Amino acid sequence: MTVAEALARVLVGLAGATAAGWAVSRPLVSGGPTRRERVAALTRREGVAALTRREGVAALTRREQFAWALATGLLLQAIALLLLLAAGIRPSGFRLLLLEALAAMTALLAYRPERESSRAALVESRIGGPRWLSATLLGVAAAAWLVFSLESLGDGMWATDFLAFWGYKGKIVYLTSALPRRLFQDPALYFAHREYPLLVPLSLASLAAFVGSWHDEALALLYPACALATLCALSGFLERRVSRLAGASAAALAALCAFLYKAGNAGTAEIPFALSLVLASSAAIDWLESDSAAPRVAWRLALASLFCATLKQEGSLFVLLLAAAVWLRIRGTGKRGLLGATGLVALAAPALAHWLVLFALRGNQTRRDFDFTLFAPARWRELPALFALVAGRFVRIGWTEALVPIVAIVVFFLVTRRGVGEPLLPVFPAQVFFYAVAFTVSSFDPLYAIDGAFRRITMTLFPAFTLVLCSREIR
Amino acid sequence: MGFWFDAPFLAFLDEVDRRVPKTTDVTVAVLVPRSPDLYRFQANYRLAPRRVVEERWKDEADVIATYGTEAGRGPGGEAIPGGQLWVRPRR
Repeated sequence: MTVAEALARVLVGLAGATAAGWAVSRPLVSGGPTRRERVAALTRREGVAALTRREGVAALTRREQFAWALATGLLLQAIALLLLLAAGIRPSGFRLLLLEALAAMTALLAYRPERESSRAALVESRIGGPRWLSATLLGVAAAAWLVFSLESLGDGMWATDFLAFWGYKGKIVYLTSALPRRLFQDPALYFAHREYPLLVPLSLASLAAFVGSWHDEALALLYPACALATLCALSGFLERRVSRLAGASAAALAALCAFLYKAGNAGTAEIPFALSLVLASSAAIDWLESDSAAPRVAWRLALASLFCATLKQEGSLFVLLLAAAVWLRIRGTGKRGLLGATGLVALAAPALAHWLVLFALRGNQTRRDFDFTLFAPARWRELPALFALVAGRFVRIGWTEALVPIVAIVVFFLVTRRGVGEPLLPVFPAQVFFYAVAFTVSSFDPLYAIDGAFRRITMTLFPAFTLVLCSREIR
Repeated sequence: MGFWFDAPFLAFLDEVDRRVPKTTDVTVAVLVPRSPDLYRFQANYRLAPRRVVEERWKDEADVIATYGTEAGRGPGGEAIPGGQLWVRPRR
């Protein structure tokens, strides 16, 4: 099979997943108040446009809808694959498409939005600056994305993490048409991180079913697709919430993050994970900004939380920190009580449920990366020195490799004022702090672990951080 | 890019892949240099879905393939590019 043919088949797999994801996520991302909300608004003599702004039920931009559709589609495709494997049926592109079509049709029949309300719910976006500047920034983002796409499709995936576990597990699932117990129990696979979530391997195995063989050059198309969805989610969200210029700036900044969007990360979980963090952050801002937190926004939070948790272990940490930030924000507002609890449950429950499902599937797994005996009282004395070592390395990396961007961010914060993303700001340093804790209790030499992973895992936070950054306004 | 650390290792793995049945019930012990880890990761990835193990589990293996190590000097193996291959009669 030629590379072009294999790429075309992967594209069909991605398009099918996105189409099914669009149908299923439509109730959560399409705009307009429900019939009940419209009646309530009429009794208050309130316009639909004002209602949509206040209730946070404005339609998401088409770019955001695409990003949510891809994320939902990848989850649906993985579920469809698992259903086929559980039934003992060999997965193929046709069978996966059939199950996805079934899910899409069910969703389309179950949810029929009112045409008028959808149209009325579109909220005019602000321009925010010269049109040529926004266009130039979007052009920069598109060019950077194109370079990344060509680079990642130019060779078979070769990242160490791809060979050792993400791609290895996907290949085993595809070639055996099963989720063999061996992946979780074989001592010879001690390096394959048996405790890691499975969405990336399952997505790669699903796309391989469309190709009909394990074609690691064509499967890399997943990564440009996720990068594109991330840029779309960023620019679409900020255009809706802040201005067109803010959206274009965030897309350009994220796309230029060459430490994340590089061929060496194709095949790993980092690039899809960055998408999940952007979706979770944007849903959290929407939830905080709406006065009464419409259920669809809470469902979006839940969907993003599930997407985060199924991609990487840090995803569960991120959504729990996001829940804490949301809780801190709503403590003094009218959203406390049942309404506040809804948002927190929407964030925490999917991550917890995912952990329980994995536990049932593969039993308790030792975390090879960590030496938890360091938390035993007898070893507490070792922790401060180890933490200081880790923190020192973080500072050194920041000083020698990221001083200019860090100073630029600090200056930018000084010359701008708070934006809609501000409540999420503490989540990012908190996540990095927990990375420091994790490296402190590393089973390996902490400095070796930091040098191998710190830059990569920190960079996954950057696209979501641009939401906070670009939502700020010039003083 | 995947074999930047040792380009001839690809030919070795391709030959093992060609000679050993592609089934999950075959265990292949691949004896490779300890460093870098990529020797082991590439062997596992390339030879999937076979079970690939390191030297310490070689007693469980149906096939032993050695590459660039002293262990490849034993008698009876077939020469393949860059190494040797021993096939144990099926039990």
